[in-house]
Amino acid sequence: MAEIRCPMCSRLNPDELEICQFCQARLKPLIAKPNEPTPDWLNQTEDDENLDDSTGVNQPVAPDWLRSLRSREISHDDLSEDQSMGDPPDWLRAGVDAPDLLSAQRRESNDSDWLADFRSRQSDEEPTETEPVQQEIEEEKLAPLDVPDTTDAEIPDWLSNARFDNDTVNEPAVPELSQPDTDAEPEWLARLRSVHPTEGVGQVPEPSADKDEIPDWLKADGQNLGSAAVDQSFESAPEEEVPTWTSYFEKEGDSADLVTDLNELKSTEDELLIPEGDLPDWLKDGSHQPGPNAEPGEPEIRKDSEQLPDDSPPWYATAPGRPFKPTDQLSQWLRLEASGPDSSEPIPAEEIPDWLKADKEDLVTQSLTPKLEELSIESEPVSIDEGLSSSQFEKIPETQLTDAELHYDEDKADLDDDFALLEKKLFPDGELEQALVTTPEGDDLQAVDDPLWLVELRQKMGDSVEDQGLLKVSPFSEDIEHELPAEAMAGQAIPDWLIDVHAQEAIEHITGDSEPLEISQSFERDSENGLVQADLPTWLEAMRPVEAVAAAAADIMDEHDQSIEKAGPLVGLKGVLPAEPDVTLAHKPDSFGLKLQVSDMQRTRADMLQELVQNEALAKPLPRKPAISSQRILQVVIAVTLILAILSTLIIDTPIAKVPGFPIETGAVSELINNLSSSDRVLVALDFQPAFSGEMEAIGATVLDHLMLRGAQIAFISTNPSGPLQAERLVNIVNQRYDHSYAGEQITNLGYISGGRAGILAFASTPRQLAPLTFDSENNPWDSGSLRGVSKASDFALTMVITENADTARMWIEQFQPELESKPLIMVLSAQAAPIIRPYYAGSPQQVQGIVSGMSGAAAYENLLGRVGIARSQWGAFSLGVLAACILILLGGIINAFPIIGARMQKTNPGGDDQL
Amino acid sequence: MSRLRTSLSVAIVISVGLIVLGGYFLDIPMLNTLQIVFLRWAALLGAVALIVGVFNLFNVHLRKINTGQKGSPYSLILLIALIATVLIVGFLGPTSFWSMWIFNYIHVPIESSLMAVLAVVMAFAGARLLGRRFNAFSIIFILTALFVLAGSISLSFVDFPVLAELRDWIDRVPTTAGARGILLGVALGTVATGFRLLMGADRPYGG
Repeated sequence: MAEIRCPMCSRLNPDELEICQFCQARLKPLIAKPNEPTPDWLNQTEDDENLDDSTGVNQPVAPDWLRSLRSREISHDDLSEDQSMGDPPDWLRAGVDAPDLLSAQRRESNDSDWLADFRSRQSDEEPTETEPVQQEIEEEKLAPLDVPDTTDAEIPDWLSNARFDNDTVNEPAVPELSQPDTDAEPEWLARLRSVHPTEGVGQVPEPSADKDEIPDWLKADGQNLGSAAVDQSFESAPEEEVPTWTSYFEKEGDSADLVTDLNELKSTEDELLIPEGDLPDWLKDGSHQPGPNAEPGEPEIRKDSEQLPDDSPPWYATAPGRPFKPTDQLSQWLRLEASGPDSSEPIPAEEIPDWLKADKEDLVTQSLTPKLEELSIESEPVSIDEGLSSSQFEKIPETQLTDAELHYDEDKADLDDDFALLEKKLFPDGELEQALVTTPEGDDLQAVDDPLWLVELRQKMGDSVEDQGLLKVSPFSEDIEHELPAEAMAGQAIPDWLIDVHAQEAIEHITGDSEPLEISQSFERDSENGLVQADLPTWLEAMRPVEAVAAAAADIMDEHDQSIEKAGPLVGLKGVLPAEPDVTLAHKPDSFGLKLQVSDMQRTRADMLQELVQNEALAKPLPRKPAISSQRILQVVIAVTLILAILSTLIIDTPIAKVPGFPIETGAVSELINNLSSSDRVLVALDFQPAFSGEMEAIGATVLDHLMLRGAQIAFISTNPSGPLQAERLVNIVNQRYDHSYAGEQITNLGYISGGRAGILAFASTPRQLAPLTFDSENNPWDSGSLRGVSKASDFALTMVITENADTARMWIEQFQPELESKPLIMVLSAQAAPIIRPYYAGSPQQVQGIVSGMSGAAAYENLLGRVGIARSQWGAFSLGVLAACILILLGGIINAFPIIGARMQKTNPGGDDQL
Repeated sequence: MSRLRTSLSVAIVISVGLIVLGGYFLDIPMLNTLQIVFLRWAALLGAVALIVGVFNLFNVHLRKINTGQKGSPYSLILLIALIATVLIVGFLGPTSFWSMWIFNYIHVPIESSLMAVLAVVMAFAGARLLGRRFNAFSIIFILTALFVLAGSISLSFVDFPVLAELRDWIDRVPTTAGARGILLGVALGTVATGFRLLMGADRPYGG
């Protein structure tokens, strides 16, 4: 099954597919429908191509220009298989393809895939019809190119390779080179001539390809220009690159009117009907295909074509002085190409444009510059069918080709030689040189380098151009700096920005008018100075930044601009950036003072801070207190009051105090002591401070008196270093106050026991070891004396603790009482300690069996005993003193409270009574 | 070395405390004997500490006198008194006339006088209490003090039996209640302190 190679992904696809199954690209290019008739212009070209100029029989012949190239003989020895010309490009072939050709192409050439596919498709569809064409292609491909004779006009390689000969299609790819036939007319010339059959122009063979499938414009390419030995450069040459300059080698007719020429073109029969879809875009724009029934316009044929040399290309002979139209040129060319080599129908003469028919002399003298009117966009484009029918390329048979053309190798040929050959063919008498060298007018405009076609065109259009004031400037000319058409600016207000001094000169050169153009003075002035500085309004100038900075910067810039560079690669230039940065320049560093810059405010604050810090270390003198103050007075008053209250009892002889009643705990003490006998030993712990002697001696004396009355043997002990002395003192007081004479063995002063609690505990356990001797260290009471037989605390019948301190009492209770077992323990306490010890009395088990507290207890105890002792004698004073204290406290409290109360009342009620 | 000393101190304290505490709960003769021994040693250490204190006092005041610090005359008097008393009591006896005379006419009056000034100061403070802090607690305190003081008065011309009963009630009820609470707290604190000492948590001896 035949396969088609995708032009995009180069993968093989079945032939019947139109879209690649891999990349979805179109496999088969869009071509004209088979039912659609080939356009006339294309048929014409095909016919012209197929016409044999010698026999007049339609034969598959190459275009004239191509034939001329082929006529150049190329030595067969110079060429090898590797140096083969390669395959003709696909665009030169009109849908002709052959399996062998394709294979040969694939083996040797780098044909584009799309062209290869096109060829393969054509070969599959109508192999029979394309056989002659294919054969021709093969023949052309393999046919040796003639080496061009130096005397002949040299044709470029790419033209010579574009051969299309059906006889050479099936031949191997190696071209056969033969000697060029110097006498043979160049193919392209012959082809042009074939457009005008009256002049003996070669006919363009008709394409033998299927006109239905292959677009006509492409058919023409393939049929007329295909060659078996075409250089690779042909393949890549697009259609638009095919030189249309050949169309300029037209000889203008008697009339230089471009419009008439265009009309003539339009009147030609439009045989080239190319579907719109097949035309490229650039052809569509300028194409205007008349209907199929339109009468084909006969191109004008040069009248003096017989004056041309024999080897002149046919298109040259049929190149009248027609205005250049790219579309027209190409359309004609394409039409010629479209007509296959087998086409035997010659191109009617009326279809050949005048510029192609123009004589060679006219080409030289005529200006190629078209009129502006004709070159304007609004001008009606010439239809394709009216195009240059004269630019046909008829196939030159090989017999007419010279050896140089047949064996022409584009790679080796020198271009100059080609042009020389061409020139020789066209202008055997050297007319071209004459035309280029001298011109009637504007000689400086026509440079030597200008192409011939441009020169001819220019000459043709010369007068009209000059009349319009167009600048006749060669594109390669360097004389004129500016190409401003003054004529275009005539009558118009030239803006200032467009006009400058140089423009003025250019205009003067162009128009020859030395009158300067009107230039505004401001512009002229500014133009001399450079950039124009606009006049800013005042309000904008006020908003501008500091002018001084800009001025300074400008000054700096001016300095830089004016300074001459002295280092770097730009030495000697002005206004360049310095090569050496300023930092690299050695200079003395700036000196900075070490002194701290302090402002006045900062110094003031620093001084203040320093003063504060210094004063913080200084001792502030305390405010001197007044000698007599209210506090002192109050204290004195209170003291005096208390003293008077106490001393008043001395004055008052009557008792004023009532004996208070005794509490229960006091009665219990009385009972306990009453239960003692004279043989009972009582331990009296005397642990009060001398400061509390007044109260404690009064209370203690009372109880001790009762003990003495009961005749108990009293042993004193103390945990206070001054206790023994206290004991001695108390015994003396009691003896004195209560008329006792306790001494000797009845009183045993055991002294002081240290260790606090531990000593008490130790004493309670082993009283003998802890207090072995008496306080005076004279006697051993434990062996002989009142404490004989006492070895522990429980041996004492009663223990009495006389203290003002609650902790001492608690210590004795906690440490000694457990050792007493069931022996009573009574407390003779100060009024301040009684509340603390009362729980021991009120508790259960009862640790304290009796408490005598304070002066009131003592007084009551004395009253109970019926004795008047220290307590009852001091009770009156004590009461008065307490009363005085109470009064003083009450008064003082009231006096101090009322102001505060009043202030608070004022706060809560700020208005007070006044507001009421 | 310090660590060894610390450990030894802690060990002694703990062991002695446990032995003495154990003597309370366990009827073990050896334990009881140790307990008594340790207690005697404590008593002796107390006595020694008192002597050391006296000597320290002597030295401090003597240094004060020697350095001429402020209050050195008082220190001199103190030292004189100390020396005299020591001499007198030492030579004559603690219960001699002169010893007793010093005690009876110097020692006791001085301390008693200081206590008497305290009475005036207390009265003065009581009188100014409301002026310094006039709040409910201050008022309650002052009123309580007045009630107690007034309840203690038994004058013929001033007889407030209500005050006496109120005083008795205050003495027996709120005071006793407060005292109980204090005693309980003290007891608990004492137990906790004892345990801490026995566990070595508290080291008042510098361990």
